[in-house]
Amino acid sequence: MQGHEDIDQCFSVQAALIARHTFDNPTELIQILDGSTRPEDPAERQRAWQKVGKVHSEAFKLDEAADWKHWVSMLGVRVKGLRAPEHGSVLWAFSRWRPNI
Amino acid sequence: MMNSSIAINLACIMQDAMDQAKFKCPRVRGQPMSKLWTKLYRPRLHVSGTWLHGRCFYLSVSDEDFCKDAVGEIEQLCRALDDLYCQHGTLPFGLSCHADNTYREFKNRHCIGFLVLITALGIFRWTSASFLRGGHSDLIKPFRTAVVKIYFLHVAIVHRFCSFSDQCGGPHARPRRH
Repeated sequence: MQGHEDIDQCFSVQAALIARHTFDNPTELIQILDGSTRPEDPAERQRAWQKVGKVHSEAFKLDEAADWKHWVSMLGVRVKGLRAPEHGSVLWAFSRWRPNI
Repeated sequence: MMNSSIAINLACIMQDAMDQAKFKCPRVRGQPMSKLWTKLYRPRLHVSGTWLHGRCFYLSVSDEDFCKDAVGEIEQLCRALDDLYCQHGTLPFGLSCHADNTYREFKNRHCIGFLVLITALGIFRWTSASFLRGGHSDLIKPFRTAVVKIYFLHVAIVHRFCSFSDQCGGPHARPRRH
């Protein structure tokens, strides 16, 4: 299991970056986030100068998503009790199983 | 990548969303906030991060009205896996997903069903879903068993899938010699 602090530290870098910029629409925000790891960025130049591993980062606009719920529903598996900490255990229950997907 | 063992040849993915208060649009800086400005409704963009360990860090920006549920989480997961597949031409044996312990995003039957399905289809040999540990200390003890159960659950489902396909002569059936 991974710690929550690992990804929080990545987010803190992005938050510090956002705090120094302004934006009016999502496209400008993507340019800010995506531009932080370009080769001409001062931080990337510093990493290249110190021969530290390159950071791969990519920002994109999530406008639409496939209907994964419908696709997954073909499996016919229903899992219950994924978050039941008050019971001290996790309960699994399958209502039906149709493997002919 | 395929030369290592099944247990350690895996893709580790962490997913989480950033604080939406930082992404009110439009964002101004260095100007005194007037009373009218503070009352102005500004939509909050939803920025979510998908960290594929050792490869890339993906940041998705979506509008406020975009549904933030299992569909969005699976979409980001698939984008990361597709990028990994395009770079290497193959995928590792295992997939380990780490996300918050919320039913709205990842800990629901849709995402778990997706992991089960890609295991049953043979895309991955095993998958696991666990939670991000820090800040959720009250949930560590029950979900330590949950991760193990998910792993064995997938193994059991794949075994059941293959045995059923063998009986029915399905696409996964092994050729039988007479």
